[in-house]
Amino acid sequence: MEEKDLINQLESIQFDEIELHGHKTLLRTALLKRYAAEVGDSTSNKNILQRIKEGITLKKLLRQPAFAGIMVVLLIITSMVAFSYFLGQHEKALAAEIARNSIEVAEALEGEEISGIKIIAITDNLATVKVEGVEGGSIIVKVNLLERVMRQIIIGELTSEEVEKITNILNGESDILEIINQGAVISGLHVYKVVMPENNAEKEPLEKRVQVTIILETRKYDADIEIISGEVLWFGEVGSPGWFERHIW
Amino acid sequence: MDLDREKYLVLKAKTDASAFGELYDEYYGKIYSYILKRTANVVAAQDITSEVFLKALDNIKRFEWRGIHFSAWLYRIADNEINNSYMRNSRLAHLKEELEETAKLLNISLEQEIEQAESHLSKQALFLALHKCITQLPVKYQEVLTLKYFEKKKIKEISLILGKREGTIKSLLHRGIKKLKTLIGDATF
Repeated sequence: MEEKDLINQLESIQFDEIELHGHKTLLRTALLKRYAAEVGDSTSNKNILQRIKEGITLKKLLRQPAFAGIMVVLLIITSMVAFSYFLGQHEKALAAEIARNSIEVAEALEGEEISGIKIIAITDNLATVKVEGVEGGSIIVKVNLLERVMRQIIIGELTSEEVEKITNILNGESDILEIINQGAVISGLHVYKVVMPENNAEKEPLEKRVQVTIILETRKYDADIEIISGEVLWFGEVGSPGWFERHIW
Repeated sequence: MDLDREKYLVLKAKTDASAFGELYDEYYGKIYSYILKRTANVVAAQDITSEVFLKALDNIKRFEWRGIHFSAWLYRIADNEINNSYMRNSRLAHLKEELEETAKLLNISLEQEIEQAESHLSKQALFLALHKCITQLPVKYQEVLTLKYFEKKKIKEISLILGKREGTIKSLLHRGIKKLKTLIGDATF
């Protein structure tokens, strides 16, 4: 079979959607039951009368003359926020583009293909960018947005005291401790954010964030830890080992 | 569903079950259908779909809009579950029991529904023949070929779902087709 014929055959497949209505209904009920049990959701229990009442209140409000003035103020604020947002988005895109095309980044990743770029912070035209590789490697880089050049590449380092502190933090978190007790192992630690006091690089950092990769059998978890405060910022399952880095949150 | 609506619902779903329900209604069919095309197994697709939405429910509060759409996130969870060799756990077994009990109470016949779906699937001869060959390829090719030709997704959408660059997707598709052609050889369907 020729390649072209194969593509034609693949493209010709029209798959009628198969939906399992019974399963869909039952799963929906079970999920929402779980949700309600976990958060004690109140909004889902609102009855129709309450919703109608809310609608009427809003209508009345819209007819008030003072409301027009408030709307103008809100419009100005919204425009300012939107402008800052778009400016921020432009800076983020620029930082990501510079990092993606940088020879230094490619070298630091040792040829590993880039799977994702995250903008950690932008201060005074200096962007801190995390570049992730498909094989799990990652580096932190600083990009000068005015000069449009790479400033420096930071590969986070940890002292033995910090590693010990991280271990204590992990052991203090019940969810993490649970999987460690099941045989999970820590497969990676890397610093992805360091905040230094302004105008004094000699001082201790104000904030130091570390991503801990934990493997339990075929499951992979990430824990984001702030070492200085000892806080676990986030913990959750992200995929299976060997599977390329997929940050799903 | 447009992006603004999706964003709004995702934000709302962190504290509101009905918003999560709306997202579920929107994506159940799409996710089930994708998993079915990857597995060609009605029951496995049903189980994996349950797992995907359980995980989505567990993690919705942590979901942040960082350049990845909610739908793409669901596809990623689905991919992960499929690639985990349909590894099932006790939580899912418990959920299945719960669904079966509710089905009895509501007089819903899941078996009949599965039979109908399997019968429908068995009629898709060309799909099944090609699927059989595609599953012999490495997972990275299975993912892109399924999304491109069975799910009819655009390169940009596949790139978002898999978190890879568009150039990488094109290259994977190109190599995937070549490998698939070699595998099929002179056979015709």
